[in-house]
Amino acid sequence: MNVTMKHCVAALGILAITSSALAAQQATVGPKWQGWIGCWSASPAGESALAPAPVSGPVVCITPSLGEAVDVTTIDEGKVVSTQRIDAGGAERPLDAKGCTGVQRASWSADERRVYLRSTSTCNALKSTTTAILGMTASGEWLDVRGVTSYGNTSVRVARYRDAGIPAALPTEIANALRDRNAANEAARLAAGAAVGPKAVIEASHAADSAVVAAWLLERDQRFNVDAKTLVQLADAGVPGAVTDALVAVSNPQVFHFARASDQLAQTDASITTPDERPQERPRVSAMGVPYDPWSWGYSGYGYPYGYGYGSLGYGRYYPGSPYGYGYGYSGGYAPPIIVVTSAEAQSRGQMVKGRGYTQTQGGSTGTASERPRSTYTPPPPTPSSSGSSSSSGSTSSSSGSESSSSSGRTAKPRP
Amino acid sequence: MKAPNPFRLAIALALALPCVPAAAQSGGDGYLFHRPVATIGIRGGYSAATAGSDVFDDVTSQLTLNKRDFGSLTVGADIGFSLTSKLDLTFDAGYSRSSHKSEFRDFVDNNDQPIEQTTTFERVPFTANLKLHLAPTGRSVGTLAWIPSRFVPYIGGGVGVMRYRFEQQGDFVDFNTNAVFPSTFDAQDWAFVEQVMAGAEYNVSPMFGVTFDARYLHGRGNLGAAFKGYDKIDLSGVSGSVGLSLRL
Repeated sequence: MNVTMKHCVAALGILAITSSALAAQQATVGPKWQGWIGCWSASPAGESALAPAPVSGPVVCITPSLGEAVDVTTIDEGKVVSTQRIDAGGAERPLDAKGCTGVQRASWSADERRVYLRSTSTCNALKSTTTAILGMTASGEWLDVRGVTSYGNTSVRVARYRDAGIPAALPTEIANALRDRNAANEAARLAAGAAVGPKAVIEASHAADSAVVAAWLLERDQRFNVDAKTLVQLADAGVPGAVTDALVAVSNPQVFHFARASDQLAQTDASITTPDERPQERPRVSAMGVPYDPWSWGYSGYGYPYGYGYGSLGYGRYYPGSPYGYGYGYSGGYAPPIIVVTSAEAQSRGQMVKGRGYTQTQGGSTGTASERPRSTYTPPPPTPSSSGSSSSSGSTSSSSGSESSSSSGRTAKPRP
Repeated sequence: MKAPNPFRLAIALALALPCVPAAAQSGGDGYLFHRPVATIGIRGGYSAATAGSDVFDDVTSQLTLNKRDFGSLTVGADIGFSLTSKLDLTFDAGYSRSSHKSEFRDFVDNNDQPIEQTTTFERVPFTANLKLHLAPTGRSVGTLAWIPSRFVPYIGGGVGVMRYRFEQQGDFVDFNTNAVFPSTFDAQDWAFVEQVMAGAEYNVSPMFGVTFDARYLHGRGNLGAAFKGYDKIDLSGVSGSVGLSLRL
């Protein structure tokens, strides 16, 4: 009896080991990436994250790869444009870019809900560092915030993606890889987008550039319960002031509002301005680049030589008035919001006019500043074949969109 | 014109002070959105007059007064501006007024009634001071958060002017004739003063603090024609007060 039992236990053990070995060899993905698995499309400004995905345009599909890695495939018109692999195991890997040397690393946050990317590179003797945070919003959008620092100058871009379902014109291997998507993916997505706390902010500050973390906090729009003790805890943990500023700003929306910076201001970190100094809002010019590249801005003209990927042309080159935006190429994403400090004076300017009732005389700027620029803007259709000029048209049309959105804040209606 | 009642003045100021920031939220939970640029304070306490000059000697020897009677409750207000993280420039005003009835120690009138008078000593200093905080007043976290320290001691000093008044009103004895005559002896003028102070601020919230202040003010002023032949009147005194401060 005892001998039989021992045999059974041994057989079960061998079976378990064999099963796990087989599972490891299969293309599986742990719960970490589960929320990301699927196809994503640019999240147009002003549209709900729950709105249906556009029927055309490029998509980025994330599929399980070996081990803890995923493959990020950009597909346009049914054709694979590029495939990148992200292994967030935390190991440093040599940079895979033509003409560049350096290292790149992807790692999970402690709560396994975000991925931190970091790469340092030297391209044509120009050094740069890219840091990024890949996370989810509370509504299940994929939020991609990245910044590139070169010679002390940091520029940050933000992109949002939303679930595109499984498009019909999808290569077979990708469609097969996504066939097993189920409700668990949605749950994982929501879990990844759940509220974060001070520990996550501290961790992110150590993993990414302060401007990136600040933009991430502003874009998440999560209201924190920040008190003095928390602020001291953050400061003592080495969290930069730009990050705590963002934390304070999002946690006090009755005082601080956000607006997109102009291109020129977008060169700096999240800026703090008074309403009088408020720059013209810069609407989102694009929500994604084509192809998606986890180690660069995204759209790079289908190759590093013309892109921002590894600083081959230098980051921070800004040409005022240039229709090409930041140097060459279409940078993808949009500048992070800036913080607008609302003064009490700006809030209180108004009149009560006999026969007309209440009217606002000044302080409209406050109302405009309070608008999240994601209201009514409809991005131009992606035109991946025209890198520089597309950014020009995108900027122009989006500008008018911003104006119309500035009047779409809170409105009154007759009581039913 | 009747001088304002210092008690009512202090109560009115204390009630009005919290209303100042009501129009706008200037801080979060335990912090302000910016380093305060100014501080407004009110205080109330007791001011003891040194009463060290000869006019006080005569008055206290002839009348039923002693030098403690020239002390009084005091109220004050100040506004301070940060020069550095530890140094403030403050502008300060105070008010103290003692008024005591007395009678001649050694004389009564012909009906055996006391010969009564009232002596009023009023001081209103206006000073500019430098206040040195002996500990950081607070800590900036980023640019949008400033957290005040809980307890901040300070020392300081300054100079200024004082409007003062020494007045005696009632019946007096003419020592030449022993006649009792009604009269008012009044001396009022401006004088230069200097003061040193020390204290501490206990912050109960980001905007409000309770201050404990002690100061010594020194000054001497002319008595004028009503008090002929006397030295300058001693305006000096030590005061202790408790107050409220509001950061802006």
